[in-house]
Amino acid sequence: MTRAGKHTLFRILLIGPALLAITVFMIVPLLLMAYISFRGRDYSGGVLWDQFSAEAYVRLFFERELDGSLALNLNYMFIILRSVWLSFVTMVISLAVGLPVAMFMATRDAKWKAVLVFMVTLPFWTNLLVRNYAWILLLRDHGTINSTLIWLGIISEPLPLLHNSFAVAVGLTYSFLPFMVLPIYASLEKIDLRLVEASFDLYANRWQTMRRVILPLAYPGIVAGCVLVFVPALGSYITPELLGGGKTLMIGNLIGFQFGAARNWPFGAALGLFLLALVLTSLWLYARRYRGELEGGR
Amino acid sequence: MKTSGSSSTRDSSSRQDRSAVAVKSVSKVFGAGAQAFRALDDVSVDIRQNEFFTLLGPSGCGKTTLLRLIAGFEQPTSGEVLLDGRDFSGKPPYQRPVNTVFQNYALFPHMTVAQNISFGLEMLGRPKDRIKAVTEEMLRLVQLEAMADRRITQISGGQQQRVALARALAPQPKVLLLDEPLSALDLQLRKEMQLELKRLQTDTGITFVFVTHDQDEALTMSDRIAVMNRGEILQVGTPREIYNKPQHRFVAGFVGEINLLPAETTGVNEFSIAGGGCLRSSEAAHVPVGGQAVLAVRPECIALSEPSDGSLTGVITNVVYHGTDTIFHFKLADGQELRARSQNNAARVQTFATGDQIGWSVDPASVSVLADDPS
Repeated sequence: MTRAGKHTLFRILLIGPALLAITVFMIVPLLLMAYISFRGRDYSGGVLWDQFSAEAYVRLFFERELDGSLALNLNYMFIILRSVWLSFVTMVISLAVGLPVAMFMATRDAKWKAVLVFMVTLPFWTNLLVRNYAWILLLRDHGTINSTLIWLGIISEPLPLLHNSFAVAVGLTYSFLPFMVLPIYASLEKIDLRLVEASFDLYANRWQTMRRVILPLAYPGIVAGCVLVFVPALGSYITPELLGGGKTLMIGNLIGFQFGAARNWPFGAALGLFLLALVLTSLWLYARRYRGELEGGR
Repeated sequence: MKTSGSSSTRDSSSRQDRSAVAVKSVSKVFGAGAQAFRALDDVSVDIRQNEFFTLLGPSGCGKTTLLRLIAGFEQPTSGEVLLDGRDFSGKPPYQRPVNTVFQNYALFPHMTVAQNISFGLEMLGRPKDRIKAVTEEMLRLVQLEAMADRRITQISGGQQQRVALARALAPQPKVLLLDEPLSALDLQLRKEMQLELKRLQTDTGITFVFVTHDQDEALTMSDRIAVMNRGEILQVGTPREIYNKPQHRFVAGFVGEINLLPAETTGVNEFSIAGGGCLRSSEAAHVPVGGQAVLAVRPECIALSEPSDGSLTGVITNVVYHGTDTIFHFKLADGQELRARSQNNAARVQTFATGDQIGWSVDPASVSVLADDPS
C-alpha cells in the first residue's frame, strides 16, 4: 500500500466511530421520523407502514370535520407560538441575569474562579426532575413564597404562581441559566485586560469601555449562550409538564402526548420535524446576522 | 542616592519651563505585610515639555510601575504626580491628558486600523468631520493610508506598532507614554522605528516618556535618560552624561561596557590602583585622601602600546575580533582583567597576541570616579 493510501485508511479509521455514531443515532432516526410523518395513523398506536398520508401536516393547521371538510385550527400553532415566546423570554432573562454573573466571575482571582465555576455547574449534579419539584414546593399556593408573603402581611390571598406561563418561564430560566453563564464567562475570561486598560487610556469611561470593547469581544460567547438556552428551552418537556401543570403546554409536551395518550405517531413525528425546522431557521437567521456583524466591524 | 534632573535653578514660573510631568517623592508598595513589595522608593523627577525622556533599567526596577502611575493605572502609595502642573491624584486614566503605547500594543481586535485610531477621538466626543480628518492625518503620519480598513489581525507586527503609535497620538495628548514598544520587533525594524519615533517626537512636539531596558535604544533616541534600579532613580542626564560621567557603579555597569578599577585616593585627583600603578582623573575625587574609590574607564578609552618605562602594564589574555573593532582582554599584576576596545583601522592596525606584554594608558578626562558602593 502506498504511503498516501495508508494515510487515507488511517484517517477513515480515526473518523469512523464518530461517523458511525452520527449515522446510527442521528441520521437514521431522523429519516425514520420523516418517513413516519408521511404514513397513516394506526389508532391502536404505531403506524400503518404501507399507507402514504400527508394528514399529519394538514393537522398542523386544520381540523377535519365529521363530513370530511377542513376547518382552520390554530390551537397547535398557538402552542408552538407560546413555546417560542417562552423560550425567547427565558433566553432574555438568562442573558440579563447571566451576563453580570459571568462578568463577576471573570474578574475574580484564579482561585475564586474555579470555585465559582464549580458552583454554577452544581445544579447539574442533581436530577432535573427533582429540581423542578423543588420549584413546585416554592411556588404552590401554600408553598414557601406565598406562605412567607402572607406571614409578612404583604398579601392576604396566595398569588397564582404555579401552573401558568410564569412558572414555566421561571423553571426554564433556572434550568438553563448555566448554559448562558458558562460560554459568556469563557469569552470574557479570554479578554486581554490590557485592552480594557487601553480603552481607559483612550478616554473611554467604564460604560463606554463596556459597550465598545468588552461586549463586542464577548459577543461570540453571548451568541453561544443564547443558542444554548433558546434551543433546549424550545424543546423542553419536564419543566412545562410539572410547572405548567398540563395547562401551559409547550411543543415538547404536545409531541410527547401524540406518541403516548393520543396514539398519533405520524402527527407527533410531523410536530418533531416542525420543531426542528423552527430551530434550524432561527439558528440560520442568527448566523446570518452574526456574519453581517463580523463583516460590518462593529 | 536620589537625583533630580529638575530645572529648578531656572525660573519655574515661565510656561516654557513648566514640567510636563512632575513626580514628587512617589513611593509605590504592592501587597501588604510580609509580602509587601516596594516597587518605587521615594522617586522624584521632572520631565520637561517637548522632551524625549527615557526610563532605563533592568526588568523589575520599577520603570513600568512609574509609567503606569503617570498613566493613572496605578495610584501612588505616597507622593504625587503632576501633569502639566496640575494634580491628577486619584483621577482615572480616562481623565488624564496622556496616552500610552503598550508593550504588546493592546490594539482592539474587533476594529479596523482606522477605527482603532479614531477610538480616542470618539470617546472625547470630537465632531465627526474632525475625527475623520485627524484619523487620515495620523494614517499618513505613520504611512498606513492603504491599510485603513484592514483588521488588526491582517497586518504585520511592525504595522501594528505604527497603528498603536497613531492611536495614542491621535487625541494629541500632552504626554505620550511608551512601554517598551519596540521589544517585539526584530533588530532591523527596531532600528528603523527608533529613528521614526524620534522623528515623530520632533514633528509633533509632544513629550515622550519612553520605558526600555535596552541601553542602545535609550542612548540613540533620548534627550535625557533616567537610569533606574530597585525602585530608585540613580542618575538623570543626557545620553552623553550618562555614558561618559556615570555617577553610580550600577549606572556605569548597566549603560555600555566598562572597566571598574578599585583604587585608593592618593591626591586631589590621583589614584593608586590595586593592580599597581597610578591613574589620574580630571574629575576631583569626592573621596578623601586615603579613602577607597572605584575608577570607571570605558574600553574604548584605553590606549594600548608597547611596554615602556613608567607606563602601566599588563598581559594580553584574549583577543576578540568584532569586525569594526577588536577587544583586547588583559590582566594586571594582581590578576584583575580589563578590556580595551580598539577600532580596526587599516592605517593603524594593532597586532597584539595572547601572552604579549603591553603598556596601557587612559586620558584623565575619560576616568570617572565612583563612590565605592557595593550595589
